[in-house]
Amino acid sequence: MRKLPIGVETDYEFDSYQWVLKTLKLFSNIFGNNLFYQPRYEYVRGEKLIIKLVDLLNENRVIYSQIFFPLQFDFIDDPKILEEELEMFAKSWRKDILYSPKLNQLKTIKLTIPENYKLLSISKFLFSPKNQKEVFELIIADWNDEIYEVLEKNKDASLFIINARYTYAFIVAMWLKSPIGSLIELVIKIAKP
Amino acid sequence: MNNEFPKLSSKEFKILQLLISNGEMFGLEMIESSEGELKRGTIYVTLQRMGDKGYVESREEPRTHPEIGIPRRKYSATGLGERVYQTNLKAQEFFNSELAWGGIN
Repeated sequence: MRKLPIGVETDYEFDSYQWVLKTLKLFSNIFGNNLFYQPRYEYVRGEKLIIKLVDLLNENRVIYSQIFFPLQFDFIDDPKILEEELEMFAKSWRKDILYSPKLNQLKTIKLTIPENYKLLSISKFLFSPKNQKEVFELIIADWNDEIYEVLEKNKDASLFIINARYTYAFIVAMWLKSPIGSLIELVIKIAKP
Repeated sequence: MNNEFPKLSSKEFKILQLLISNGEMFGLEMIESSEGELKRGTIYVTLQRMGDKGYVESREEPRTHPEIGIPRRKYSATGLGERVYQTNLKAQEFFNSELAWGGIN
């Protein structure tokens, strides 16, 4: 039986996307392979990170919420120590979840960082924030919208075609935004009669 | 004075045509309305370039509860975009007309 996707909604008010990904990756190590991570982009400057587990297919109800303060980790320069701290934090988080009566019913939470967010972290590394915001994030937004639209109609629907289509679209966009891709496009444009 | 007018690519022309006839649209809506002319991999790159040229403008559309996720952008044609579209349309009509093919004797 296919498990319902459970989303993790985050309201992070700090500018460290990689940090959130890393934290959630640690969570996914603890919870198993299936942490479904759905970040919200609210770039209000501040100091807190709110993580909510959201049941995406059941009226989006929030089933768990946790607030923590990432700045306490920001001052740790040593990546190993940071990892240990995060791991300890993630373990305590897991403990809280296990004690939550609502989540006790959900023994097999599907927790995963979707592949498309991994692609987004690649494009963030390669391209400017402007390109990230005006091109790549929008492809991911459409990708997720199509996934939810399909799953709302049929929870068991195959997402293979959508994932393949958008992975291709994402790669095409990265190619077009790359210097070589832009150059080839320009040459084709000039060569056209 | 430069007498050349800005020429639109077929994708740019289609985007402006959709935006002028439908008003504000999301990228995905444009793809769906274009009957295969606009693709998922190229539309946002094209829209970004058109934005840089001043043909389109966009605004972030925040998700409303209970939706979550990355906010999408709604696009609309600017005054300049509309003028460039009309000019290209007229040029295309002229090119396709008998006049362009020496039909008047």
